[in-house]
Amino acid sequence: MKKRVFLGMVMFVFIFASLGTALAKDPKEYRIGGIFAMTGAGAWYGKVMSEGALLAVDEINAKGGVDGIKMKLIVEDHESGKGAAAVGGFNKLVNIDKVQFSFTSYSTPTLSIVPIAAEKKVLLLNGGGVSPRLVNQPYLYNNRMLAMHQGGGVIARARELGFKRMAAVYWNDDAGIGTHKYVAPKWEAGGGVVVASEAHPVGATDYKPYLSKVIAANPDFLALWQWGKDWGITVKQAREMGFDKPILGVEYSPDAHKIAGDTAEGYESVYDAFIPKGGQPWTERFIASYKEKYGAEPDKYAANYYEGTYIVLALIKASKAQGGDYWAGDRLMEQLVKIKSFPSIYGGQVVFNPEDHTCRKPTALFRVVKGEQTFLKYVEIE
Amino acid sequence: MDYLIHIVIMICIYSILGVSFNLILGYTGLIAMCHAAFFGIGAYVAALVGIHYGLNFLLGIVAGMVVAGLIGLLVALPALRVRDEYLIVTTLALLMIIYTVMMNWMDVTRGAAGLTGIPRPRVLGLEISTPLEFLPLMVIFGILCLLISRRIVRSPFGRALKAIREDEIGAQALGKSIGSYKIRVFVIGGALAAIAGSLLAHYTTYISPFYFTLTDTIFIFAVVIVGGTANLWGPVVGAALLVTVTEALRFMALSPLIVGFTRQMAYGLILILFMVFRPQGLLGEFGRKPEEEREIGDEEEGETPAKERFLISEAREIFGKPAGQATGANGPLLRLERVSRSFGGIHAVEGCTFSLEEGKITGLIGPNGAGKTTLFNVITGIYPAESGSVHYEDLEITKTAAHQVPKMGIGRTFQNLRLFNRMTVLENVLVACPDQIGERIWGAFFRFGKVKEQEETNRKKAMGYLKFVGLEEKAGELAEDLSFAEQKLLSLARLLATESRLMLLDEPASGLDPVFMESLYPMIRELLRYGKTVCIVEHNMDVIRAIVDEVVFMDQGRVLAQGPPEEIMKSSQLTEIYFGS
Amino acid sequence: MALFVQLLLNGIWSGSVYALLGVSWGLIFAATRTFHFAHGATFVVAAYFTYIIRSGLGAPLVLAAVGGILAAVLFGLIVEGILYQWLRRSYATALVIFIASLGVLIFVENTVAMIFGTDAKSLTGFPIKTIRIGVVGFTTLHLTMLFTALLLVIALMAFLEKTNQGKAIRAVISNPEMAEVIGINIRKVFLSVHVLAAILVGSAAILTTLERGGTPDLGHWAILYAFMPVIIGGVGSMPGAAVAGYIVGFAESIGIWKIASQWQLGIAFIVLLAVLVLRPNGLFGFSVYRGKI
Repeated sequence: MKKRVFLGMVMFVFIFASLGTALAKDPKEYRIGGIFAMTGAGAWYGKVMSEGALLAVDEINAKGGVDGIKMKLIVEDHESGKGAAAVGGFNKLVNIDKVQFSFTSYSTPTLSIVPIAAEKKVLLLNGGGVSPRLVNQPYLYNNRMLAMHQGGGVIARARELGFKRMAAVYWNDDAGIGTHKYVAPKWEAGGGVVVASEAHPVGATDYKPYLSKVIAANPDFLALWQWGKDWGITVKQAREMGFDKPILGVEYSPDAHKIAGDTAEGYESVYDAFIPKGGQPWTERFIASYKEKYGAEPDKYAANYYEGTYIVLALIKASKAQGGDYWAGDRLMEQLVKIKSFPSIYGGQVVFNPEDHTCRKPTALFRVVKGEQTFLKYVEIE
Repeated sequence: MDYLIHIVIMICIYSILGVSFNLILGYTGLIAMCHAAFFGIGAYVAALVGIHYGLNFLLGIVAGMVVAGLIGLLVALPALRVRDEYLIVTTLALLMIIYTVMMNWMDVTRGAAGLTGIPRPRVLGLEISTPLEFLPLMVIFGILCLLISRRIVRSPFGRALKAIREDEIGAQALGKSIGSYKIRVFVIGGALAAIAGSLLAHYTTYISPFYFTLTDTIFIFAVVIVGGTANLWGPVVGAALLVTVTEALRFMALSPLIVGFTRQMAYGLILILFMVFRPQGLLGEFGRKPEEEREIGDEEEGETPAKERFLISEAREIFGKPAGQATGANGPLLRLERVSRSFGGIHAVEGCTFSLEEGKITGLIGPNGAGKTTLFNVITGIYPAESGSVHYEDLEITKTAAHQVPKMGIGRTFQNLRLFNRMTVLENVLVACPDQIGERIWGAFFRFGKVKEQEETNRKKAMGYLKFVGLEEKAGELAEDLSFAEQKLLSLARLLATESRLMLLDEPASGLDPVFMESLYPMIRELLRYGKTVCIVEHNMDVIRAIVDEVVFMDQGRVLAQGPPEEIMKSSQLTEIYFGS
Repeated sequence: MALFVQLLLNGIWSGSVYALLGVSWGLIFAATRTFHFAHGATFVVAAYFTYIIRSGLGAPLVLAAVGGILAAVLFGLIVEGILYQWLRRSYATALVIFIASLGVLIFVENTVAMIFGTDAKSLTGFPIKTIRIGVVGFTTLHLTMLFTALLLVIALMAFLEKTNQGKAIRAVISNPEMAEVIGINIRKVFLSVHVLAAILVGSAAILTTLERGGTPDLGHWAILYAFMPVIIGGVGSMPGAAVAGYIVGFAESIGIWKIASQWQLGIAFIVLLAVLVLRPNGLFGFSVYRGKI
């Protein structure tokens, strides 16, 4: 009798649990969005970001998706940073494609869609933008560390090298200005002095005016709070104008390196430590698959969005276990806050901070040696 | 469904932009490249008002309109001094300056990052946030702007704008202050565009300078051009087409990489193809649509077509009682004293002294290049005298501005006519009527009854003048469709409508056959009976002998003689100059 | 002080490019009275054809440059010879031609962007050597800009002065109706100014691409800096446009000596506005404004 009751109860719990999961409202497919720079000056970013995500989606689907339900990535274009385009694209994703989650990139487009995401309860994950304003926005999480963190790493290195006089050339937008505002006082507090600070429109191609002022100020080093191709063009033009002091920045991409060419030699940068030759098994598998599919080595951006897709996978699974209408942006976010820590494609974990929606990941110092971007060492960010 | 509503909303916004730009480009003919700046200013002001002060969105819209109107004024001022391509460049420079300010005034506009968190509008306590909720708001404002535009276009103010577009100097000679009109149209156009900007800001809750670039101005151009310039509904049609094409491209199964470019390529291609195959746009141009002018056309349908001799009684009605004999007691009506004017070293007019008696017809004759037309230009203020003085009645008018001179009672025709080609014959005459309340904005909008009354009166008068010159059947035709002779008559009718006391006719009969001239000149002689004074530049000696009371002979910029025709003809010296040796 | 000298030099290099842009556009405008917005497209065509021939086919830079300029010439001939002539034959108003020209610019820029992408394309093969004089620095490329501008502008002036076709062009600039009356082939003149202009603007395109990489939206940039010197210098005056090009270069560069550098773009336009308000006919141009657009 007791055995039967016990068995009965076990079966009851079992049926209830599976009924619970079965009652879970399953969509036909898990549609996730991705708003990237598909056209414009930053088209390279959009290309690699979408490729990283797509690779993950393909891998997941090859294994049957989540209980047989596949994932689908729908890509929209914010035209290298235009809020208007992002809003248009996001509206389509939300209203027509009915996504519950979307990747986003770049600071400005992200900020433009945040109010809509909060209203429609769609979870956003940013793996590319770095502006300080991305902190603590509703429904937005970042699996990339922000500019101020990296800027902090740059001045730590400068201090290490014994420099006193800093010149800075940076984007005249939130990311650039925000970084400089954060970094400059810290630099001065440590005994340094800022001899020149030149803000320029994003995507400028002629840096003669800014560099003229920098050179005239006679700094020990030049700091670049720039992303995209701008750092490459700035480095090239600086060297051509005869500036021979060290240049440190917060970004690197092969695209920009090509523009700088030989002048990039010695350029140091602090950013996300995605190290292709790092020796982590998951990383190595990723690199191999990426190379096979796209014919090139992946960079940190592709990595971030690949990682992000696996985070979404984890969120879907966790949310589904709770049953009910689980495929919903607010439910996914709930799980994100609960789980906090996920495996990172960099090795180790990426840890989200629910207080400010930022994350902590391995960060490193790199240097261009003999034309190759070379890892120097890991950097601690406070 | 939300998405379709979104498209309709964007069509409303671009319709407002198109309608406002049409006033400037289509109706006034000003190629202004800065319209996106007004759009942007409306958006930024509304955004800032909303974000920092949390005021009702209607106040934000009003604030945007005020600022945009002020900027419109600033734009108009340098624009007054320049024409055509210089205007393009000026307005382009202004657009770029405003854009640079948007991008770099970080404290206020946040530069390239733009402004986020623009509050949603609240109406009667309800917050408007979904596209469905926005739809009525957008449609209401769209209709409002359309109605405002309609009022402007159908008023005497709008008519004057078209005249300015067709021929600035011609309009000026009718007493229209070109500068004042241009300023007003820039201010109004700018303020209306700002409404669209404010609405956009509240709708997307986010704006950045990238919405308001040169490319966006070109899009607004396209909206107006594709729909049809100077057509009231044109911009709406244009907006509908272009917005739909834009959004539709998003759905075509092209890689996202290509969509952005194909959209832009489509604009470029649409512009080129329309210019090549259908420059008048989808709805066609102004004036060609009989509907807009039906109001005038209707009345004339029943009139008898016979070209009857103009009855004295009718003339009295139009011109008033015939003037008494001119006494000449107060001295000559017009007096020039040693007037000189040169152009870069060429003395076009030098030391000219003569006078015109009231109630007489004076002929101004001389070989080609003697300076006769220049003299007219000096008198009417187009090229003011550099030395000497011009007196009309008791006033010195040497320095009077060209658009003020007609108001004193001096009117003229031009050798090259300067008719308003794409306006109807009747409109050409109507626009010349003096003191139209409807030409002032206040009048056009708030004194509707009075304006209508005045229009009725003026219409009767205008038809009277057309009857005087025998053109009453052609009232609804476009001026450019008239024969050359008819155009000359129209030019005269237009001058008559100004009710000028002193009429300067510049070669009114040149290019016309003698038979025609025979009927024209008695007409002019008639005018003297109604208190007019006439000065006419003429080459035909027979005409001079037949109708002219006095002759002023000019050569090489100088007045050589003034006196009765027979006397002047007798002088062999003068005839030698005239006919050459 | 060193900064001032550096900024002055910067102004010379920029001014050289602006001079080429201004003189070329001004020639077309003065002769044809058409607001040739599509001049920016010619710039882009030259830049990208040079790039294709150099990077795609691996040809030496000089050959690629020649190819790029030829492409620009051909493009100019097509726009003028086919599009504009067609429109003029249909009695198109100046506004219509202007808008068609706008359409061409947008279409070409975006077609190029679609094919090549919008990232900056580098042009290699020019031996860029840095030259330092004290604290001040520039490159051999910058010197080349100066020499090219001087050479081409002087050559153009000589052409206009000495050759028969040049004289015909000047006649048309001076008085189009009279020129037609005395039997000058207007059509040929229109085509020839586009050829001459393409050589200048093509050179400017190649030099700019060498300095900072080529992007499709340089078309917008080029047309703005093309009509600025013409308006400032005065329509109809080629030397005026050349000098005005340098004025813009200096104003822009020295303007930021004491003002934050990011306002540089606005400075050139403020100079333009000032000239328009104070001297609407330009600093050196004809005093009698002729004809409507």
